[in-house]
Amino acid sequence: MTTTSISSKGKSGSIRLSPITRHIALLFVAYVVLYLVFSVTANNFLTSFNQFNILRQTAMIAIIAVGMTYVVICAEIDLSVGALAAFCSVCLAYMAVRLGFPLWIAIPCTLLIGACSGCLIAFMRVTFRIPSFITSLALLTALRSGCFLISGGFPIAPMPPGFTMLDGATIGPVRLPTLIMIAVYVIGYIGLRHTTFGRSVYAVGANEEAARLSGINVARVKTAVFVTSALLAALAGIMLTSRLNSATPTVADGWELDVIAAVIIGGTSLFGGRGSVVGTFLGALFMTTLKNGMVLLGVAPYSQGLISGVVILVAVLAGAIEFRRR
Amino acid sequence: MFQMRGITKHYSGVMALNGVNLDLAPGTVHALVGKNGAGKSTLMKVLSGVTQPDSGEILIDGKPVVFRAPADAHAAGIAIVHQELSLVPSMSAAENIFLGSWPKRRGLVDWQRLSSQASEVLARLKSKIAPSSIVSELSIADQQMVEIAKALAKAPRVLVLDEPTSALGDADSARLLQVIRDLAEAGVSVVYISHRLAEVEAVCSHVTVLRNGETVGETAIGHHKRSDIVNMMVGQTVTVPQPGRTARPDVILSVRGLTRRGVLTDIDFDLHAGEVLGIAGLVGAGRTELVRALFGVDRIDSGTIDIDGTRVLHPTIAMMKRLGMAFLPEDRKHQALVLDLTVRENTTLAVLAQLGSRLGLFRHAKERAIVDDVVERFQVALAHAEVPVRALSGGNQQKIVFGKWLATAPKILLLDEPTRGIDVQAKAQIVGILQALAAEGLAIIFISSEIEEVLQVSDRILTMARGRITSVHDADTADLNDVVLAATS
Repeated sequence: MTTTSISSKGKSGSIRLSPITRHIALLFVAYVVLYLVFSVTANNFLTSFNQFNILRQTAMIAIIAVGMTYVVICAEIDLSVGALAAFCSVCLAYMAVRLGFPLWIAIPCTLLIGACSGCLIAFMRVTFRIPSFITSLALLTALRSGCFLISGGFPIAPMPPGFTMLDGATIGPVRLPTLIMIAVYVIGYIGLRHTTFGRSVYAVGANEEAARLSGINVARVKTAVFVTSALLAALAGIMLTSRLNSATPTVADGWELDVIAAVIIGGTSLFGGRGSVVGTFLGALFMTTLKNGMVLLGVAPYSQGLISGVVILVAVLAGAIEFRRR
Repeated sequence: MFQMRGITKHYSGVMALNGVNLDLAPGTVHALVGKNGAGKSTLMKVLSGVTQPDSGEILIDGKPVVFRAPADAHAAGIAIVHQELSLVPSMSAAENIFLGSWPKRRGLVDWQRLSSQASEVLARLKSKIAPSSIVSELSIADQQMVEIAKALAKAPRVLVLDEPTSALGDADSARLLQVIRDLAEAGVSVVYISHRLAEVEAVCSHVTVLRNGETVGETAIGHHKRSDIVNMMVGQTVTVPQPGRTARPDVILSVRGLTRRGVLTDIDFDLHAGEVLGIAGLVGAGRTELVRALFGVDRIDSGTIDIDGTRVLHPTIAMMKRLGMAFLPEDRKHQALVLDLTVRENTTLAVLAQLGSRLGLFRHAKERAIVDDVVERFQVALAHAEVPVRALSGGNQQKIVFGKWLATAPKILLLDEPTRGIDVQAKAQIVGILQALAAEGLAIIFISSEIEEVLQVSDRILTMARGRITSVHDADTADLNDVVLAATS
């Protein structure tokens, strides 16, 4: 249950880690092994350019995955995050380029659009008890269609001057997206472990009825996690626009699967009530490093998906075995 | 003729049945009555082959038989209708009646024959249910009929009905009783298990009374008055010493005309500070529904609730909590605790709002203080507060639930079956906690299926039946038999 390594003495007197801590420790070891293998086998893997590139590639998926961690711990799911990131990207470019809105208006408006999308999933879930799986699946297709309708099917470019700084600015050797990611993780970690809201998220996910009868406002908690997830997807959409210096209706395709994979590999339970932001970060880093290494090694693109799929299965299996051992 | 002779069954040292006899003649309706835990369900498990007795025998027409599995009992012509319905809601009545043994033609289900056979069975019950109607769209009474039809489709010699009217209204109950009489006339032996003695008198020809796993009476109905049967069920009346509590001056909770359609009707009562108000009644009498409505869990249709001078018309959980009410629900594992969270996290679940600092950060030190306080006050046996609450015994779990709610500093405690499923020693501790709290001035509503327990801890006792309050007793003068009688009316 705990992300920090609260260790507990078992009956035998031996030190035992909580299941999720053990999962994260295992994942960390697996990551170190993967890292060492690529260091030896892939030529350019250890170059500082590639190392920072991995962090940069991880950033957007990892940011959305923080919101998804909250959603999944709450025993819900949000399949619309990839399509929402793309939709927000297109909306931002449309407002800034076609309508000529200044960025200080266009960016907040984009975030607002994201928040509304999260509210819709929450509203359907809380008011009509429609599973978030269904609403977000409908949103996935609808928002993608919206991307094409707004853009007319063509990229909107270029963005106003200066906007690419969001992706390109550096502090020392570190690019801004990496810093934004770190900030999101610090806030996400504190929110989950060191606020009463975070505790409610775990309680609602593990036993909604008990949480409700304890006086927790379940509807408010669920709304908050969906809005958080959608806001972070919008943020990733804005960062993506800066990186490409354009908005294309087909971007961020299938991101929801990468995000969910990162969350699950990180040890968060799809049944709710268990999970951590730290695990999610490692999960996202693991997936990006794996893809990066495969490209450097020249693994055929057709095989890469197969390898990623096997890795996801193994991680989920490890989690399931871990859970049954308790 | 169907006979059970000297059936004895132990469960880990506890005598569940001790030399019980049951004679079922064809064409009779035989009542089986007794309090909770008297051995009725164990006896039925033996009869249906679910459990094997330690000793004793079952005779069919004088020949001994052995039921090693439910299939054996089934083959011998025994069918049971359990209190909880076991229908597939999304299937039709016909499909349910022949569940798993649908008539087939060339490997496929023969829908025409299924429908006509189901019609025949339903006609025997004088039921107007269409075989094609979907079960989830039927009323509870009709669902009960489908359940009975399902049992009848197996052409049983012995039909066991366990509390078949507990979910039915008066008219439906009367119709069902007529059906039972008709079945008996057709030669079926019916075993009728019920707490409702009026029904037993109306439909049964014989009655067997069980108490503590023994047969205490076996007689033809009509030879005994109802109060004699109650006497046999309850046994020797034990006088329990009452805790000497001070008189109760002020009304803290006043309920008037509380109604939830179909569940609660016109509930009126007052609760005083420092008072323990017991609620007795059968399963389905409306006890749980009453406390849930009071706490704002279920909507109410009309009536008023006054707490300490504040009038509430539409209670919500948040509002009732703020007004000083606390609710310990009956299902500890699913409604009161989050089993995967730790003892610490469960203990503070109801006071989370107080644990946020002005910056919004969690006050971990304050949380630890609350948890230490609860663990010490209730002497919870545990190594430390970081174990999942799942790992605790039932009694210790219940103490955590008490602690969780007392941390909210409530004025009124609603306790729904707080002693269910915990061992004798923990039970005594819980009762002790309860009396100490009442002495501190808390007002307590106490629900328990064990009537002796209600008598032991309560100052006053309400009995409920069919969603209404049927009587009020003062604990000093209340007679166990009267309370049981009022609860089974």
